[in-house]
Amino acid sequence: MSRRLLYLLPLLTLALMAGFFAWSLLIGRDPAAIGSVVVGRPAPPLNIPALQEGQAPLTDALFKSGKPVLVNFFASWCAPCLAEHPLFMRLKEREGAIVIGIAWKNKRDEALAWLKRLGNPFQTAGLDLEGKAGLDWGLSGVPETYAVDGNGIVRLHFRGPLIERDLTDSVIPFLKGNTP
Amino acid sequence: MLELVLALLSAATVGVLLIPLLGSRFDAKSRFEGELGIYRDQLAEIERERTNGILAESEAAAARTEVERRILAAADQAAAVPSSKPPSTLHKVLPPGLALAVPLLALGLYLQLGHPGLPSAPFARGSAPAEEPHMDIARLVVEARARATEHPDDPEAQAALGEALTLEADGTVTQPALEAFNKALQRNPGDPRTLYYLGLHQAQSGDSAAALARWRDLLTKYPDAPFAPGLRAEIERVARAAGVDPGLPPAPTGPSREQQDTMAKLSPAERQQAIRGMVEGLAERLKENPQDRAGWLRLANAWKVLGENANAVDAYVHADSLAPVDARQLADWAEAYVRQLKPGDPPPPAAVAVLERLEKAEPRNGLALFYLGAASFASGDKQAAARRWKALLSRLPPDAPIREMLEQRIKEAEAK
Amino acid sequence: MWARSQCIALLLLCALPALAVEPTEMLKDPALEARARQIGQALRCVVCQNQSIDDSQAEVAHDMRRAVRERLQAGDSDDQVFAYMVARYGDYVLLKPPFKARTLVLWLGAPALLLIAGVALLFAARRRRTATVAPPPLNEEERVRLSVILGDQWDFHPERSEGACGKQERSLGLRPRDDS
Repeated sequence: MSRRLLYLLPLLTLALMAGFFAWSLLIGRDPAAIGSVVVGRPAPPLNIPALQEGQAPLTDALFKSGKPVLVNFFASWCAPCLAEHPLFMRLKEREGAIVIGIAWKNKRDEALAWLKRLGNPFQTAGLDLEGKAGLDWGLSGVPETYAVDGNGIVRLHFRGPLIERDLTDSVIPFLKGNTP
Repeated sequence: MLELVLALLSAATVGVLLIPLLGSRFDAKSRFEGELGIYRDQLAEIERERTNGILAESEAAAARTEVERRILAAADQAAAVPSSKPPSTLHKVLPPGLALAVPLLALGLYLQLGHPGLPSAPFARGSAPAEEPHMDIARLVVEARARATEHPDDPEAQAALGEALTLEADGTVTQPALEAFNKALQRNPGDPRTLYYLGLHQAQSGDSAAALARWRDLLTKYPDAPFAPGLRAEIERVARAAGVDPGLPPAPTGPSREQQDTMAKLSPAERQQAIRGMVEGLAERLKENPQDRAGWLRLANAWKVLGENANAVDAYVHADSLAPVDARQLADWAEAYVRQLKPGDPPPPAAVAVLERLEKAEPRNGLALFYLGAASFASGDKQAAARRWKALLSRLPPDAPIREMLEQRIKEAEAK
Repeated sequence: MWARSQCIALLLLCALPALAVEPTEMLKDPALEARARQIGQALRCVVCQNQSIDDSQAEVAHDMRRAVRERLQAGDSDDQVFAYMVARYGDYVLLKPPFKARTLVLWLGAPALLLIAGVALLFAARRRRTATVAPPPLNEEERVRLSVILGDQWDFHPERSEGACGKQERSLGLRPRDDS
């Protein structure tokens, strides 16, 4: 009898593994989501020239104002950035958010023309032509958005364009002081 | 072709699996005979190794006893199973059932999740751009901007600018586009195009609820407009993205999918015939159910497309008697009237009434200005005729072909 | 003919290592460049996810390659360069995961399973051997039945050469094979 049960063991193992894989597939985890180590840490150092020539460079001082700040890496050549642009306009105009734009690997005049054509949601914008600031922030591409709280700690990170659900579920509560 | 190859492959696989399953069904006795042969060989082998000195005497004895025990156990088993008893139904059905279930399940999953009708990607990519009408968006924007600057109070010009700017931004309603639409809305609060784009802007800036409310409102007002199907699709798309119920009113009944498919196979003449048949069917149904305003409007539009302008006018009259039609439908109605005119003839009184309503709704409508001018001219009010035609002339592009003729007629009107 | 030569060209392409490191990126010092290559092969491109940064054409991979070379030129050790990347992109950036508490199952799971299977096999083999060492001899009844089953051929038992058992015991089992 116990022999018989022994034969069932491989089948049981298989069923267990199948169950485990089905579970990991169905809990809705995005296998491509790799998170960011920056979240929960102080904002990485920032020292880049302003996008608008003649303006003061962008530094860490931006995160020491005591107010929550959104940092959006964008580029005029990036189509998803275009898609999320109206959301940032809304964050600026309806929610009063402070958004810092960083043009990543973008020519200065192209980024400026893009903002002129679409509208400018940024309180201040910087230029990261070589992608060095992007590397310090752990960027993998554009668009990417970080939310830095009043104490200068990164609280949220979004890889890819923001969508409505991100706004209602996390960004707007964050701006209102409720860190999710 | 590929499907056939795949089907053959699965059939072959199932066959390979089934042959041993079906072949292995000896009855218990013949199986025992087979086993016995193996055991005999084993015993002979042991004996050979013993005589050759490979196996020690004690080892050989142990091995032989083990084999003999197995023979006895096998014999017991064979005796326990009555050899005449047919294999149980489960035993008979399970292996072929399982073997068939795998390809059938796979097929079912494929039909559920796959896209059997999907064209291969290189083909789709190669043919798509060729069919897209080439549009010089940059020129469109320049022209729209020039017109909007020239006529800052014209809602039409502002809305056109907003639309051009949106096109330029690949369908994103940008901040400058939004400003143009807001200006257009101030002058013309009911303009469906402006309302559509303002809704699109709301959807894009993360306020799907407001966008959907605005669009649903628009669809209720214009259930039969040419843009209604597109608007429905947009509502569904945004509602799906936001994870809410689209809350759409039921769609007006159009030709079904099968009808469209059979339609596509007909020759142009046959197709024309079929369309006419469908339109006549609709007219019959409306005779029985004359309160269906949306139906009358659809019929009017269909007759107009078929060039049956008198029938179209008739249908518009029916629809209008149920509830006044909107500006766009007024324009179509008036057009159905004037298309029946011989060149140079003034419009009849019924047409003038419609044109006057159109002029009231849209003071800058070219059709109304031209034909009401002709009516005024015919009735002797040459001043009014000249005023209308001049208004039209100022709105025409410089290279409009009718410019010359219009200037000629203005001269005639101002002659006395 | 043309198609064939094209095919061959394609095969040749596949045979080459797909290195994305551009000549302009390379360091002049060959020793330093060799170290950079070694590090680059061990760092994951955060966009392509299954390529090293040396194999990837992505913008970010380019930035990371450049950063590796900058760190090396600044005198960093290999470990310091890895630490620099991990601080920005997390352990995820390492193609070879580090050995720590969270990755214990990853590192030890497979060997542990192999060990368990090996031990089980060993035990089973030992049991079988002890079983074959001293099987109890057949008793009289078993011998009789066996003789019936095997018929004439059952005669090479040296210690039972007397062949005492006749063919009269049919009631005990199945009919002998070659009888009748």
